[in-house]
Amino acid sequence: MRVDYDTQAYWKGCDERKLIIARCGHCARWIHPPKAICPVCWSAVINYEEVSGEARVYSFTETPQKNGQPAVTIWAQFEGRENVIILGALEPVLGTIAINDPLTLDWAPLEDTWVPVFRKRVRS
Amino acid sequence: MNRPTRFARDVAIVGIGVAGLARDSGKSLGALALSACADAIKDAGLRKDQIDGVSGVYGTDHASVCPGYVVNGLGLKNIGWSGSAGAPSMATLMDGIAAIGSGMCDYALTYHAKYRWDVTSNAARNDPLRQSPPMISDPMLNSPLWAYLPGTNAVAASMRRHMHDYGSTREHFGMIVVNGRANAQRNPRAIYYGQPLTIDQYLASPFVHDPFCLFDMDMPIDAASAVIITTAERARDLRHRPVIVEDFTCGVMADCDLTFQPWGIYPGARYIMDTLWRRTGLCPNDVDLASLYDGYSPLCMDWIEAAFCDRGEGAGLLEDAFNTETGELKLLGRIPVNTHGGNLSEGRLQGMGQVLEAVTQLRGEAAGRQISNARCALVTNAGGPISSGMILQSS
Repeated sequence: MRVDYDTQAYWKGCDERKLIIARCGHCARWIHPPKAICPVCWSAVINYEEVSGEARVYSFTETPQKNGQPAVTIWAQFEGRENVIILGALEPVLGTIAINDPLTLDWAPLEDTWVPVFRKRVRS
Repeated sequence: MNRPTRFARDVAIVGIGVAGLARDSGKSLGALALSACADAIKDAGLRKDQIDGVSGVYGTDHASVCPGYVVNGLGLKNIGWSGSAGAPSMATLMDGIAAIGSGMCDYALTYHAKYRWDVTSNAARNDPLRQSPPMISDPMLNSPLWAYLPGTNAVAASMRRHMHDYGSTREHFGMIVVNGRANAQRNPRAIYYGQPLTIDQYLASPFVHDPFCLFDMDMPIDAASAVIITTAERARDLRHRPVIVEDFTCGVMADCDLTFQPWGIYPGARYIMDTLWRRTGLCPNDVDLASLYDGYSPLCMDWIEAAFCDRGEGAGLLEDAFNTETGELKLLGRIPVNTHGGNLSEGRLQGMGQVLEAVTQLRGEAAGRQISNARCALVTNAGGPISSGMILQSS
């Protein structure tokens, strides 16, 4: 993975197991992947905010693995921030998953940081 | 923009060439590019000193051949215009069309070359002759966040979402694949020539990323292709019946980086098609042949919907169009799709195969698979946020 000026806040958040998403300081648009200028109003004032892990399955894929258990990749859409989609593995992979299933965010180690993974949230 | 592109109809395609189209060509990528370019120049009936413009695709996902290599390799001495192009591959053709139309050169050579590098093919990883050189640049600045890869997987996610939102099934995507295979049986240079496929075989093929199976992906190969462009006026003095550029457009769509915005390429394809119909005054029923980009079958679904119906209507359209006996698609009861087999079955020419086939059909030279009275071809090309489309006419 590669860190640059735009993504360092995201990766620093991962180091601390926090999901940090860029947000326009002028029009409040969420911007992911993070960029230096808001695509809506072109403001260069970009803030970075921690968001909660409440999300839903936008889509997912199941990639066969040698151990017979597929790796499930989730595209998670965050409630109230529909233009923010985060990729992460589903853990554990047992059971079934469907589009729109509720998710909670968790973290898994990768190299010297942490990356998002998702767990199914029991419907309330 | 609603008006026709100013000089589009003054421009013609007059030469085509192709080289390789094999899993293992036994040649370098450079050799293939030179061979395809030389063949295209000869096909047009031109001498090399007449070529005064060159443009090639080298800014896509993997290393390719820069124009300087081709100019050196073919000993072209009179190049006064050169373009550079990234994806989609057809963009290089459009650079050439624009250069000819605006008078920057008289005969433009445009080319595309693709290799089965170690990074595109598991089987190539241990082959010392297939180690890819470093990229010139990283075209995807989003890659820092790709802790979970990759592009292929994101297309599979868009396919699953299409199935969820619009009730399409794997069979519908299979119809696109089987159509390509059926057509490839009449194209001896297709990678899958001699290997027809049924819907049942498609459904039984192993998943790469469920719901995406092996046959939903194009076949990595060694191949290069080239197209010669000049004015329609000069074209009349050359060897082949000129193919006229009715109009063309190339766009980049917002809110679609595929990886983090995995809803396929439909919004961009829709914009391209609306633009083409508006500029030309044509409609889907005017088309005799649809050469639709099919690097992955879900991307072809997006093009079918954008060109011939609307979002979510592709499955129904395909059901009406699919002949279960022959495995062929005839859209709107008449219009064949990817008569050469497409990227999926002819091989991974990244959309340039669609161009070569449209030209061959409009010339009336598609031996064994010629569409009778083919006069108007729609050609589309896209692999991500970038999309392009072109309408070609016979003369």
